[in-house]
Amino acid sequence: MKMNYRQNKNKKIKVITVIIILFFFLFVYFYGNITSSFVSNSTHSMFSTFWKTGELIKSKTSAIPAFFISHASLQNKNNTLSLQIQDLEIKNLISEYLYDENEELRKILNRLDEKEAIITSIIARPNQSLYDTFIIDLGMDNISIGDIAMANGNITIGRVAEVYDKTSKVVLFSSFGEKIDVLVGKQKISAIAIGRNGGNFEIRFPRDMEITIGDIVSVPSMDIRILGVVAHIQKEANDPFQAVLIQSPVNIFELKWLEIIKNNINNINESE
Amino acid sequence: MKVSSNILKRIIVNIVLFLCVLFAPWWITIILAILATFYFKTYYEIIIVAILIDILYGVPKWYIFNLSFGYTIFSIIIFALTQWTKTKLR
Repeated sequence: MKMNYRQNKNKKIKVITVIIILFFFLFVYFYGNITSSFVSNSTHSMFSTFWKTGELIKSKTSAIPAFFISHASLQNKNNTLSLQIQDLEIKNLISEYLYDENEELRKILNRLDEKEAIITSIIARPNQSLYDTFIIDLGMDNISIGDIAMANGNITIGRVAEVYDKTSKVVLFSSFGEKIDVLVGKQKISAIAIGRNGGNFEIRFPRDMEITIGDIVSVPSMDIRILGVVAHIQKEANDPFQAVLIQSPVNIFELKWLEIIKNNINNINESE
Repeated sequence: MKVSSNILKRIIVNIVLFLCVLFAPWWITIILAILATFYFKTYYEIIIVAILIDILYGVPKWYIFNLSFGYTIFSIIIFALTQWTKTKLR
């Protein structure tokens, strides 16, 4: 009798648990947005202190690994990096010259785009979850949903998806399933890039279209907005299409700062 | 008041999991949560941790009906599976 009573009690608990879970899902499906914004706001306000403390500790302890690297190894790395810097300085001079010339020409044609940019620090990075989002140190007073996040001045990274009192969520354009209009290569071929996580994108082109590794992929805009570079092209024997894989030129896991600018990009997900 | 060693272990694992949610890569959090679900009896905390991750980092995704509760759904499935597996292994 005792055994029956215990088994019945367990069965009751399981049934009640399943009913509670079902109600939870129904509630979330119909009313999720109302509760989630309040709950998310409070949670973000609470946790922003933890994230900032974590970033502070990381920045103070970033030099510790250097103690364990040999002097010879550091010297070699130093020499290699010095040569790379020299090469990049020359390329930078040419880029600056071309950039100034471009600005001058646009000024003459009255096509200068004065963008409002706010710099923000990143307090949580995409490797914290599978959602491919940044948490940034700016709230609803400064930015709004749909604003664009850029890195290193001209690299397009993502869009502001949610804003709270003290923090905001930036979803990367490379987040799985995100779509964005782009222009590929020197011929500026129009296409839709689909996010594949971790700063990677994919575009499917007809097989006979000429795409080269190293082609720059940019976002249509008055100023320079680079999304990535063609890193790999995949062609299968029976497939009439080729898969062009694009990589962001920045390492999104090592970014410390982002620029947030007002939106004027056609992100397909927003219009859905 | 003497706290049993099992409860103490559970508290420590919960604190470590909480810190992993904030600072560790996602795969460490998932592995630790799944291991804890198998180790402890009725580890409800995995669902709470999953809800926390969804609130902190989640955005609506088309493949979960435009909801941002992917981790929560995954954790409920893992929790149910581990409970079922444990009853079968007894």
